[in-house]
Amino acid sequence: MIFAVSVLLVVPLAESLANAQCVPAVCALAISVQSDASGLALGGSGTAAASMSFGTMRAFGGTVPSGVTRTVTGSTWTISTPFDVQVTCSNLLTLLPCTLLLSPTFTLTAQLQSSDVTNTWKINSLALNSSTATTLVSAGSYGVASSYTFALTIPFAESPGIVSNTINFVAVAN
Amino acid sequence: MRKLYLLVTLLVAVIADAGTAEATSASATMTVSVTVASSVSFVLQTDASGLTLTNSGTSAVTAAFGTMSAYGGTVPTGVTRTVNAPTNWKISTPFDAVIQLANQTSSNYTLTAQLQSSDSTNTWQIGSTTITSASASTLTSTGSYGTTAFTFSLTIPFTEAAGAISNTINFVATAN
Repeated sequence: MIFAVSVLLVVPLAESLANAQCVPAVCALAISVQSDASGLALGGSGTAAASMSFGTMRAFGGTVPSGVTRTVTGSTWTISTPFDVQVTCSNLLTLLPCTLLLSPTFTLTAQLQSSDVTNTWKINSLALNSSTATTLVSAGSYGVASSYTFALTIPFAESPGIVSNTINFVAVAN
Repeated sequence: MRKLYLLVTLLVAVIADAGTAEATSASATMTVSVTVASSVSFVLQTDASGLTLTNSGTSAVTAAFGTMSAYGGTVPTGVTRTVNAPTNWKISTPFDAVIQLANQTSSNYTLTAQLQSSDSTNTWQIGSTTITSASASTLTSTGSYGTTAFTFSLTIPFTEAAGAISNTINFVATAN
């Protein structure tokens, strides 16, 4: 058993730590998007394909879902809610902490799947778009459910109807 | 010893067969949706030149003039008193109506006002429009969204007995 462990260590450490690379069969990252304790309840919470449905909302009056904040300014209104993202690092052999095979941090980015020139999409005050990925964190820690705040700003001038988009998250080991 | 040899062989094989090392990453998605509905906001607020309203900036404000008399006494800041001797006297003050529209196409609004309780003694007006409890009076049929100042006035006959005068004005704004 001791000999087996030493073999496992030598190969990945030599080529992975310096280059933030990993032999896929040995170690892997996973992202789960989760409901925050203070936020809107997500569909598919805890998976890599969550959904955040605000239902029907309006700038004035109506119902504001639990965990959602509505802010009205002069010509726009914003709905926001916290959610959690957890990036985990695992190795298939489960003999060693994954971070021995990779650097101890990761970079997390977010990008809109479809272009939206009308509304403003933000996470932690960082604007998202469909053309480039926005870095949310450049040195995230594995295994920690970190809270982020999603915000969508809607102009008064926009016609009523459904606003929908998908945010693609990517975590890369540093 | 044979089992250990097999395990070592297996581990080496796993690493060797795993292919070329590559940047380690993972991805996830979150689909966001909201159905945007149209809405109108209507609040009353203190005008910069008017009497200070209680609960200004809400849809249920109070204009309390305190104790006033036709002659002498104190006239509150922002209030104008006009005496039309020997018939009546009038108190007036400006106030603001703030009407906003979101996610609906409308160029203007119609604003009406109506007294909640009948008053056959005093005359209640907003601008030059007399308001009663019998029907809603149109203050404007082409109001511009945003803040608009109106002037409230109450005319009191000299013949009226001293005492409190109170009523509620119900406003309704409708997008055109």
